[in-house]
Amino acid sequence: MATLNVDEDGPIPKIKIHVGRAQFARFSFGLWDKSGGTTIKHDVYEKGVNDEFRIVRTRAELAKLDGNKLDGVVWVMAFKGGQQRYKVTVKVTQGDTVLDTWDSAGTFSTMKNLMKIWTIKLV
Amino acid sequence: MWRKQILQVILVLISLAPMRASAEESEEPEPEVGEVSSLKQDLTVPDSPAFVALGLNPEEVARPATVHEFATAVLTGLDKNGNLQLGLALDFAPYLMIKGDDLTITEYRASYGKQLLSNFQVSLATTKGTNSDDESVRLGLGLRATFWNRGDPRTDDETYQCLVDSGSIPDRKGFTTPEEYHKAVEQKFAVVKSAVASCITQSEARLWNASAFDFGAAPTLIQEGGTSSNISWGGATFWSSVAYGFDSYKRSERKKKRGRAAEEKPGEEERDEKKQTDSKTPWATEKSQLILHVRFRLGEQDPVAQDVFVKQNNLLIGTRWRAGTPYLAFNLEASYVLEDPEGASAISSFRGAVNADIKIIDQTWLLLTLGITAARDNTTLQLGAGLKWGGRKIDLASLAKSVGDGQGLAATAAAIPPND
Repeated sequence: MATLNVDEDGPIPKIKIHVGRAQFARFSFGLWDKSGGTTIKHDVYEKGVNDEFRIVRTRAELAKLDGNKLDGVVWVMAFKGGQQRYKVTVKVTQGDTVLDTWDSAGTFSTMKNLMKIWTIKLV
Repeated sequence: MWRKQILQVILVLISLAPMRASAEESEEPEPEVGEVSSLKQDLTVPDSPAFVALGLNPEEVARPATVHEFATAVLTGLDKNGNLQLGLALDFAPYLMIKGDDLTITEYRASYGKQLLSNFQVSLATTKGTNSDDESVRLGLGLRATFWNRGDPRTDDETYQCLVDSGSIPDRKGFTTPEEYHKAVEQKFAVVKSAVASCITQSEARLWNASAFDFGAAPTLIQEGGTSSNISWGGATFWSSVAYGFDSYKRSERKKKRGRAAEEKPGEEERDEKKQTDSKTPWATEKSQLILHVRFRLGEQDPVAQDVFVKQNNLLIGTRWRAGTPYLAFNLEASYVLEDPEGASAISSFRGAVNADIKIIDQTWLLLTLGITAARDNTTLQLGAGLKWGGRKIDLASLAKSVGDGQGLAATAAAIPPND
C-alpha cells in the first residue's frame, strides 16, 4: 500500500486521471476514515471535464486526513471485441509536487478493473 | 445436428471435383468447380496493402478500419501463378504507436484529424520466390487511410451510450474498509462486464454494414534474379472502396423511435404496435451494404519464366451488394476487369457472381459461390466451395483435386447419418 506524504500547510491535494488509447472509462475515488468511506468523485471519464478534482474541499478537512486512506477504482471498457490496449495514469499532486503516480497499462478484452489504496500521512 | 448436415454438404461439394475434368474435355462451356478465391473478388482496400501488392493474398475478409497498431509476420503463400513465396510483413499504425497512450476518447470523438491519423496504417513487406521460375525479391510499401467510417464504434453514439448505461462502480456507503469495498467492486465488475460484452455484440451487429470510405496505395520494387545490382520499379497498386450501409435511413428511423419513446411511456398494447411499426423498416436497410471498389495496378510485373517478366496494367471496377446476418451472408457481385499487357492487346472481361458465406461455428465459414466470366471469346460458368477459419481459407475443390477423384470422400459423406 502506497503512502501519500501530504504537507499539512500546503495546498489542497488534487487527483488527475488520464485514460489513453482512446478507451472508455469510469472512475471512482474515495476517502476512508474509521467511520467508513466517502466518495470524492464518481464519473465517466471525460478529458477536460472531470479529469482533475480536489480530494477535500477545505483546509480544515485536510487537517483531519492523517492516517486516513484514499482509494481509487477505474473501469476501462472496450468499444469492440478482441484484444484492446489501455493506459491509465492517476497522479496525486499537491501544488507542483507529485505525491504519487499510479500507472497501469496493458491489454484487455471487454473490461478491465483497476484498484488502488493509499495511506495518507500528514507531514 | 445441423453441423453434421453442413459437413455433409461440404463433403458432397468436395466430391464434385471431377466435374472440372469433364468440363475441360467438353467444347461447350459447362459448370465446373472453380476456386472460391478466383470467383469472389476482394472489393475492399486490404489491411496490408504492401503484401497484397506483391501478389500474395492474405485471404482476409477485410472491411474498413481494422487497425493493427504493430504486427509482424513471417508469411508463406502462393502468388497468382502458383509460385511459392516466402515473405516478411510488418504492419503498424504510426500515430497510435507514438501518441496512442496520450489519446483520450474525448479527443478522438471530437477530432476528425485524430480519427484519420489513428486509422492510418503503414505496411512493409518483402517476398522471395522459391522456384526457378521466380527467384525475384520484391519489396512493397503500403499506405492505408480510412477517410470516412460510420462503423467506428468509438464515434458511434449508441455504442458510447450503451457503455455509459452498462453499470456504475458501487457506492462506498455501508462499507467500513477500502479492502471490503474493493471486494464488492469485483463482484459488481463481473455483472457489468457481461453488460459491456452485450454492448459490443449489439454494436458489431448494428455497425457491420456501416458506410465507409477507404483508400490504399502500395508502390513496389523488384530485384530480378535475386541479385542486388538489378533493382527496378515493380509497379504500384491503388485501391479505393466506398461502402454504403443505408445509414441515413437507419438513423432517421432510430431518431423517430427515440422521439416516440420520449413522448410517451407506452403500455403493453402500444409497445406491440411499435414493434409492428419497427418491423416495417425495410430489411435491406438493416441487413445489407453496397460496396463500390476500384483497383488499379500500374506496371504490374508477372513472372512467366525464369527472370522473364511481363509488365501490365490492370484495372478492376467492381460492385457488391452484401446482405445477411452475422451468421449468413449473401453477396451479389459484378466487376469489370481490364488487363493491358505491354506489347500486346488489352483484354477485358466481365465477372458476375453470387456468393453465400455460412457461419458454421465461431470463426469458421463455409463459402459457396456461383460465377460467370465473360471475356472476348470465352464464357465460363463456375461453381466453387471453400472453408474459411481464422485468417485461413481453403478451396475445397482444390483439396479434392489434390486428394484424388473425390469418390471416396463422397462415400464418406453418404455414411454420415442425416440426423443425430
